[in-house]
Amino acid sequence: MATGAAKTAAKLAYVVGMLAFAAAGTANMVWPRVEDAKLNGVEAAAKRPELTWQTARAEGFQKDFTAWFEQHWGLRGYAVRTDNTIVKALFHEVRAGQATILEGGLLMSREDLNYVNRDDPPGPTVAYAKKIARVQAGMRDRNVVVIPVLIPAKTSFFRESIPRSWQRRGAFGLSDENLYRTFVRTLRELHVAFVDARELLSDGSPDHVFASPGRHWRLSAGCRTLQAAVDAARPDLPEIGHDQFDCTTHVNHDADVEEEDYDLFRLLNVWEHKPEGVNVEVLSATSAPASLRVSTVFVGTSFVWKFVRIAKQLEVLRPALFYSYNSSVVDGDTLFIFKKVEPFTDAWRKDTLGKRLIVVGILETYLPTDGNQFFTELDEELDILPPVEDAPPRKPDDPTPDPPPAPEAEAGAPPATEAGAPADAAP
Amino acid sequence: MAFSSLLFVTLFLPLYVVLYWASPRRARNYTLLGLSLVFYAWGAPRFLPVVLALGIIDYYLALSIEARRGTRAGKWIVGVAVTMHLSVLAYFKYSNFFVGELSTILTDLGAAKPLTWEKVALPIGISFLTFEEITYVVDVYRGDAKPSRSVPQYLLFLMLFPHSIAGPIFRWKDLEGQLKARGEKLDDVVFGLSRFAWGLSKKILVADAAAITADAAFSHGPAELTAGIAWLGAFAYALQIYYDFSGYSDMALGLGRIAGFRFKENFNDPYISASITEFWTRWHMSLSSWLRDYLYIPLGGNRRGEGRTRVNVMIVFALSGLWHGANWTFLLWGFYHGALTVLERTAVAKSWRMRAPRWLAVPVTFALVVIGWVFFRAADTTQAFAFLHAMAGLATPPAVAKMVPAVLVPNRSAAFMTLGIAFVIARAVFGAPREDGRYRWAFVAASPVLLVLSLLQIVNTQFVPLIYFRF
Repeated sequence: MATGAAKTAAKLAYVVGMLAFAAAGTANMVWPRVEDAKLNGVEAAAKRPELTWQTARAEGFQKDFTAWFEQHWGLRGYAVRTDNTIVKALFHEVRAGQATILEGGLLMSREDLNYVNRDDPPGPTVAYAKKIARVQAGMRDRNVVVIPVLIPAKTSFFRESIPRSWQRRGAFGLSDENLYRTFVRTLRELHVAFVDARELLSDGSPDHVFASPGRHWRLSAGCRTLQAAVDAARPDLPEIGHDQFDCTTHVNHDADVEEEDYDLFRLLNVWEHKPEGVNVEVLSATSAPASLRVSTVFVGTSFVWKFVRIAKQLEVLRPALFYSYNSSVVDGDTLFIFKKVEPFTDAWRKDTLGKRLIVVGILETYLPTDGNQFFTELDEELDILPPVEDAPPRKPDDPTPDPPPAPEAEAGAPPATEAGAPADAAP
Repeated sequence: MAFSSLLFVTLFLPLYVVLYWASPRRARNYTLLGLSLVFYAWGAPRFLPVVLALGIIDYYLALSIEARRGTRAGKWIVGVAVTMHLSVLAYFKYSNFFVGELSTILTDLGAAKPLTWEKVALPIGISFLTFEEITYVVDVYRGDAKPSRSVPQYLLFLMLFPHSIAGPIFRWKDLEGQLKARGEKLDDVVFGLSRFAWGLSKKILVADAAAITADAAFSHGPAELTAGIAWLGAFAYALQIYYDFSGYSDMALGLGRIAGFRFKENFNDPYISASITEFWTRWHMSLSSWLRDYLYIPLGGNRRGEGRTRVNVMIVFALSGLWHGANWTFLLWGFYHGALTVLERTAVAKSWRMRAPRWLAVPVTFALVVIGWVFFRAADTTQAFAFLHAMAGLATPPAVAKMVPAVLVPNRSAAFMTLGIAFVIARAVFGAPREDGRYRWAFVAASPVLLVLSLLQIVNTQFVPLIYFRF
C-alpha cells in the first residue's frame, strides 16, 4: 500500500504534469527553447495586435490576439503533425485542407473530386466557348494569336481510384459530358485553334501526367502541352517556321519534397518520409531555336506556372508575362510579381495587345469560369477598339518593351518560387 | 474565451490553477473574482459594467428585501428586481427578434420600408445571469436564503468564470456556504483537472466530429434532403448537442472543483430516459429544476386540476424554448416538448409507460427527442419543416443529396459518433464513474490522454493551409 506521502507526491506529480503539458506550447512561445516542427502550406499571417482601450472595448484586440496566439503557439508544428499522423493512420483521411487520400495512397484535391460530381447544365460552357472563338478571331485581326489550352483535372486520369464514397449517387456526375466534352466539341465546331491536353496526354500512363502525391501536372505533361500550344499557334505565327523545342526529361533522383510533384503530400503535414517512386522530372534541354522567342502572355492558375518555367529554361516565348489568376502580373524572367492586372488601362493594352502570342490555361476543374474573365475583358476591349487592318506581324526580336519588374513580391507573399495561386480557389 | 479554445487551455487554465493555489487562503476568493472579471472582460467588455452594476443593485435590493420580508414593500421590491432583470434580458436577447418580427408585420401591412434598428449584441451568459439574479432576490424574499453581506462575494457568485458562459445555473443558497469556506484539497485539483479533460474531450473529440455530419446534413436544401440524410443529420445533431453541452458542463464542474467548489450536476445520461418527462429530469437539470421551482410551481404546478396543469406545462416549456434563443424555432421546440409532456399525462400514455419495457421505451423516447432537435438546430421554421418532411419520407420528387458520403460522414466522424453512442450505452449498463469508488482511477488515468488528444485537435483545427497564396 502506498503511504500517504507517496500518494500526495503522485497526485502532485499528476497535477504538475497536466499543467505542464497544457502550458508547454505557450511557454515555448514566450521563452523559445525547442525549435518547433516546420509546417508546409501557406496561411494569412496574423499580426500581434496593439492593446488599446478602444480595441479591447470593441473586442478587436481579443479576436486578433487569439488569432495571433494560435498561429504562434510554441509547439504548433509538433501538434499539427502529430494530430495529422494519428488521423491519417486511424481514419485514412486528413483533418482539414484540400488533400484527400484515395485508394493506394493517391492524393487528390477536394476541388478535383468535386468536379467529377458536378451536374452543371451545358449552356454556360457553350457560351464560354463561343466567347473564346469570338476573341480568338478578333485578336487574330489584331495580329495577336490567342491559344486556349484545356488543362486536365487529375480526376480525369484517375477515375478508377475514386471510391464510391466520393461519388454522389454511386456514379460520377455529368461534368464529363456537360463541361469537358461540351467545351471541346463547341470549340471544334467553331474552328477554334486550341489544345485539349486531356486528350493529348491520354496516350500514356496517368502517372506521367500527375504524380500520385501532387496536385499539379508533371513537367513533361506541361512541356508537351506547351509544345502543342505552339503548334496550334504556328499557322498564325509564320516567324517561328517549323522550329520545335525539346521536351526530353530525366529523373532527379535527389528530388526534394519541396518539388511541386509532392505539393499535396506536403500539405498533409504528417510525420512521414516523402513517397517513393515519384520520379521527379527535370527538363534536359536548356535552350531552343531563337525563332521561338515570340513575345507571350501566359494567363491562368497555378498550373500555368509550368509553362512559364519551361519557357524560361528553354528561353522560348519571350519576353513573357504571366497574368497569375488574371490578377497579378509576373515577369517571365525573374518570376516575381511586379504589378496588378488592370484591364482597360494603357499599360494593360500595351502588355496584352502588344504581344504576339497569348496562351490561356483553362483548368478543366474550373470550367466554365476559369479564364472566363480574361476573355470577357478582351471581348469588351475588341468591341471598343477597331481591328488593325494592315499591321505587319512583328518580328520576334522586336518585342514591345515591358516595364522593369521590381524584384520583390507583394507584402506577405511567399518567395517567388511559390508565387502561384492557391489551387483551391476558383478564379 | 471558450473553455475549448487554445488560449484558455494553454494559458488561462494553467494561470488560474497556479494563481489560485499560490494565493493565501483568505485571498483566494479575490483571486478568483479577479480572474473572473478578466475572463468576462475578454468576452464581453462592453457588458461588464452592466453586469457589475446589476450585481451591486441586486446586493442592496436583497438587503432591503430581507429587511421588509413579508411586507407589501418587500414584495414590491422583489417585483422591481425581477422586472429589472427581465427587462435587461428582453433588451439584449429579444429586442432584435421582436423588432424584426414587427418590421415584417408592418411591411406585410404595406409599410413603405422596414424598420431601421441597430442590432443589439448578445452578451455572453446573460440568460444564466438573469436567472441567477432572479433566484437570489426571490429566495431572499421567500426566506430560503440569507442575503450576502459582502459585495465582492456576491459578485463572485454571479461572475464565477466556470459557469459564466453556459451554466450550470447557480442558486445562491447552494453556493453561499462554499463561497465562505470550501476546505479545498489537492484531491480537488486532481479530480477537477480530470473532469475538465473529460469534458474537453467530449466537446472536441465527439461533439465536433458529430458536428461535421450535422452541419453537412443541415446545409442541404429541401430538394437535396433524402430521408436518410435528414435522419442522419438529426441524429448527429442529437449527439453533438449532448456531448457539446454536457462536455461544457463537465468542464465547468471541473474548473469549479479545482478551487474546491462542488457544483450540482447538470446532466444525468438523458438519452437513456424512458419518457420525455424523465428526459427533463436528466437534461440540463439546473434549468429544468429552476423552471420547476420559479415558474411552474408559482403558476400553480399540478395543484389546480389537470387542465390547468397542462396549461402550466405548456407555458413553462414555451418559455423554456424562448429562453434558449429568440427564434420561432426555439419556441416550437418548447411547444413540442410541452405537448409531449402533456400527452404523457394522459391515461393512455400512462398505461403505455407502465407496460412498455425499458428497452422499447428508451429508443422511442430518444427518437422523439431527436425529432425535437430538428427545431433546435434548424435556421428557421422553413428548414425545420423541410427536415421533418424529409424524415417522414414525403420528399417528392425524390431528393438528390448534394454531398458525397465521404464528406457527409468522414471516417473520423463515424468513428467518434459510434464511440459517443457506445459511451452512452456503457454508462447505462455499467454506471458512470464515481469519485468515491467506481472506476475512479481509470477516470483519472485516462484524463491526460484525453487532454493530449483534445489539445492536438484544437491546435490542428486552426491550421488550414493552402498550397500557395492567391495573388
